[in-house]
Amino acid sequence: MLVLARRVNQSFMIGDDIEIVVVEIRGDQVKLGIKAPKDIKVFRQEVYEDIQKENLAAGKQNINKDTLRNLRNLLPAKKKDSGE
Amino acid sequence: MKIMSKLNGEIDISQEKIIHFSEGILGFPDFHDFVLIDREDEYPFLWLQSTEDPKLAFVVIKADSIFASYQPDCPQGDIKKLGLKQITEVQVYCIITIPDNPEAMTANLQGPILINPNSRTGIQSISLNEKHSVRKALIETSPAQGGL
Repeated sequence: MLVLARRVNQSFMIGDDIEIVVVEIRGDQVKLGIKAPKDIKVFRQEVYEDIQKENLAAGKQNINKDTLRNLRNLLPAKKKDSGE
Repeated sequence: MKIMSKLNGEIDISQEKIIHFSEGILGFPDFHDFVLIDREDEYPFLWLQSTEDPKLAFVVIKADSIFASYQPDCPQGDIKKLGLKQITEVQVYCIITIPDNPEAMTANLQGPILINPNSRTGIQSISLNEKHSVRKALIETSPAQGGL
């Protein structure tokens, strides 16, 4: 793994069009700014791991044919919320 | 063509019903072709069934059939990969996780499945809106606290 030492406001490039800037360092936390093309996905690693873990649970779950028929009756009418 | 499904035995699907996920589904990178199975007696649940592995099938729900105004904030690049320009042109589905106590089922709002129904291509995207939980309860366990 490449390890680079940087100070606040210094940056480094990944390829030609992704720039990572050290914005702030406070205690054990570093704030990074990321300049990247819009089609590059930038997420905290935990987000990926959470979704992956959830997919693995959802893909492996063992339910029987009655489960969905029973559950559908428990669903509320369309929720007026945005999931937030 | 005939495929085996996880719970509904052998089913006959036409080739053009297959939805291609070029990047797979997170955690299952080796499976690319799925079909949506909708059965009247299971609505609004559907199955996103792998055509390559009978055991791999996700219970999904079309987002707007349960969440009136949920709209994921997905990277423009994901929408572009489906050959579309705006999230409004995309069909949005959420994967449902059903634990041992089925009533505690949750919807994954953070990793929505986006489908272009015309090109039959799909992608699992990520909503940038951090309020979109990976495990949003579908059945309220306590009375709702006011409206949203």
